[in-house]
Amino acid sequence: MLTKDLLDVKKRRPNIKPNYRNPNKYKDVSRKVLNSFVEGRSRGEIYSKIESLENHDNFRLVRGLKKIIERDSDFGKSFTVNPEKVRKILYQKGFVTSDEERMEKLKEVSSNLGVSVESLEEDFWADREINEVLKNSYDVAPKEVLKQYNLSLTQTLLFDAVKLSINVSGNYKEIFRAIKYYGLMYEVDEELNIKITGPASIIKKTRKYGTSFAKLLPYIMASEEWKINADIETEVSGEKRIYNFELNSNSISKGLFPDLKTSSPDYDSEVERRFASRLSAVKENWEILREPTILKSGNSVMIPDFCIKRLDRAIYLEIVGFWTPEYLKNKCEKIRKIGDEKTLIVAVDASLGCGKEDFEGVEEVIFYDKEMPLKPLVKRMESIEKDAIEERAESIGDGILDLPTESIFSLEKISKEVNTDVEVIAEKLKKESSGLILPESGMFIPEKKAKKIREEIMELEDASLGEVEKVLKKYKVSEEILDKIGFDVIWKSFKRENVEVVPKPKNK
Amino acid sequence: MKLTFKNGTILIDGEYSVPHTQWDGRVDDQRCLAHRYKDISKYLKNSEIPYKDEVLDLVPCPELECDVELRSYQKKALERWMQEKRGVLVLPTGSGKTYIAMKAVEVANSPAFIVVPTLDLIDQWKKELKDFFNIDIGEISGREKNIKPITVSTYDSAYNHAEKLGNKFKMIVFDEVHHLPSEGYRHIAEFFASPFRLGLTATYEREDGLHERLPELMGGKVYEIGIDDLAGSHLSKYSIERISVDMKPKEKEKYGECMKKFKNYLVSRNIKMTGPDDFRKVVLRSGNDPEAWKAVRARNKARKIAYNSESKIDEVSNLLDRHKYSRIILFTRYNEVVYKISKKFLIPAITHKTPNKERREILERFKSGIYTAIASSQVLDEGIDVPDADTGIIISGTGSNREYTQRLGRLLRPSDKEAKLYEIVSSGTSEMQTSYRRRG
Repeated sequence: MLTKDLLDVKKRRPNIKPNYRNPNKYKDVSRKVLNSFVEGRSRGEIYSKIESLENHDNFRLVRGLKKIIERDSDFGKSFTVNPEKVRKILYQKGFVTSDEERMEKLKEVSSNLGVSVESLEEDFWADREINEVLKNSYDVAPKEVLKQYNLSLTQTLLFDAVKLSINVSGNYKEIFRAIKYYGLMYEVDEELNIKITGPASIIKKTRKYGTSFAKLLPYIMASEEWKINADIETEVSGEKRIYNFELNSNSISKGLFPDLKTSSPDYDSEVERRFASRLSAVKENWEILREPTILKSGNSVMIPDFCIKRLDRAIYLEIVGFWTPEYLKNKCEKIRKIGDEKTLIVAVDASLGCGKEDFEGVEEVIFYDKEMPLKPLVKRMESIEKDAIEERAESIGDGILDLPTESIFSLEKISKEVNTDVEVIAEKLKKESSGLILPESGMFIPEKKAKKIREEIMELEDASLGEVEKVLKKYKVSEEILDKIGFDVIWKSFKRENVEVVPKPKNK
Repeated sequence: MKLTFKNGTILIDGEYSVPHTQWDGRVDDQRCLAHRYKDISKYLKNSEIPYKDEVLDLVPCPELECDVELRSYQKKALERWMQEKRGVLVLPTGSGKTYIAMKAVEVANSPAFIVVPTLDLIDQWKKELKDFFNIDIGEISGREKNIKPITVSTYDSAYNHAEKLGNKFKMIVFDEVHHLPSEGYRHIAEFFASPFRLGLTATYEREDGLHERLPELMGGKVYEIGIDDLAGSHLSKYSIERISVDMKPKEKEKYGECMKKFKNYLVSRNIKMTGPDDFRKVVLRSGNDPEAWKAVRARNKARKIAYNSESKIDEVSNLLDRHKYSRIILFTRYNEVVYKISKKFLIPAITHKTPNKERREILERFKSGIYTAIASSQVLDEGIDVPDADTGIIISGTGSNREYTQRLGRLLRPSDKEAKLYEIVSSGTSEMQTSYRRRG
């Protein structure tokens, strides 16, 4: 963060924006500032080198870069005799009014201390900040410094913010933790826009929380996608005005800012990790997301541990591996406020010793002992899956499936055409036609065709698999159909000509 | 009804609507700024509405006793304040405001938070408080964070931490309370729930009129005494001598060049310089206008030449020679000049960067006579412990500075001779100023 005098902005009513510097375009200035920081140089020397780089277009930039580099520098005092001691000894001898008198005293003191007069002169103010010496060297890319500069500039602008709205995907826990830590408050609307204010914001328009907004920014920028919108109080020709500032994650891909993205959140526990891997093995077409989103819960939000998702249906899972009465009370209240339209399952570690009665008003609670039980969950997933498929099948217009019911076709092809799932198409066909569905090969066979295939096979003199296959090939269907149209395949040996296809015995 | 403190505000949970509050949909409760605490409790009590009060969470505090004898006007000021235990006392510098405040803390006999403008003043307050109350004193500042029943803080740190500290002290004291009504610092008073409030200042009025906010924040002005009303005033008599010096020819040349650049810019843009605001306007333009930027730079360079002029140093040398046996305080606003004088004449220097230990030692040694001169860039008069001096030398920049001469003058005590105050001014500079004013 920079001091306010280094804030460099562009205002175009009603918008305000920091004067961002493209790292590619300004890398030369950045390099020159960096190169001024030479190990062993004093602060004063470095400052005057940097000052000579300033011009009217870049002076704020140059000073900002200086500040950012200096922030990570290590300066130290360098002297022979402790400066405070040097001064004390000299002061004690009383003030002087001529050069000769001064030299006399310096000589006397220098011989007493066993150092030269020159070294005494140098040490006199060696503890002043400006005379401190740089102790480290730099291995930073000029472009990176510019990215830091752009970030700091944004934070500096936020100092003057009276309101901040954000929309983020990812890094939720960190963001809400930081909001709380910095004493801020939030409101969430149905689109999950988060309006951040301070306690006193409803009483007076204040910039008091600007510094906290600025500190929040890196957490926001660490999420996958983000958008911020801030009301900035700024002075325009002597009068205070509110201007608007907007920024989103595209600015990161444009290379303006350092990449602050964190890797996806780690599992809180081994139980969670194993649960995720076991579940994905059992139900592979479901998506398992960790800390996937926020759920609006009254005035507040909840960040469930997991979301399992398929066909736009979601089950949220909250794992309780810790509790105090207060914690459970708050959690239950939050869950109740989320409402019925979201499916939320609470899984509780049975060893914690709390029971169903501790989850007043919470519909779905399961207990686990060391390992999360998949069964109840899978059951729930399947029923949701079934629901979703049926609902979708119904919502597909009837007209679409009129044509193909006369011929054999691939479910996948149709599903792509109408942009839905294969299972939804299968469901629809099951309900509305009398044809056969081959789930493995994903084919639909109209009843008439199925009959015809059966007849052709029955008419074969040699009912070996080899011959039968020729028929199937003609219709472009797989062996899977044989079972469905009433044939058994009997393997007498591993040779295909010895495999017989026979009608299933009746009434069995 | 229940009142709780939340980050500088008070939440009111309950069915009655209470004045000074606003509905907060974020938490579905009424909310107000913490400084309304006293008004609200009073209202609830008067209306006989039962309520649970969880606002204050005070620092545990021993019985506070302090061993201070007040002078009669100090007693009167304290009595006025005690009527409401709120309000501002206006007293001139050097009239012992600290002692009144300490007595007020004793009367309140509860944890107190004292806000002062600078770290130096923190040190001085802490020292006095410790001496008179005989307990450890806390500090909230950039360099230390340590809460005690009596805690001293700077305005800046109090502003930063008001949300967390606002319910821990029953009493809050603002030294130099005229700083308080500014847009930022106002939050300190607003975020503190402390029902007892004391403000101290020598200058109640502010040029921007913001002192009108003080009654709401602090209670109004409850006592005022002017410098002339102080009986048996121990203010000293002194005479002022203004010395104008010419810059060295080379400096003059360089100065002239720079000022010319600046003036030419003003003429080219048709800007009239009538006050400091006009210069600010030029600075504002320097972001877009390269010429303005160059002009501002030239003007700053000129000023630097003027205040750094060798001729002034020569004059200092003359004065030091003349006052070899006096006790001298040299004052200039410019740190650089202090460092230069210190090294050239071997005179102890005090700036805001001087470490506390060294500063204290310098002042003590000046008091005891080991040192006979001090050079400072800080106005030492807000302190309590300013040592006596009989000679003052002010090195001004471009033109005389009445405020500083007055303030330094107050520090002077006559010895066997009359106290003497010198002000060294560069002669060329003010001429230049008037000349371009006329032309503009």
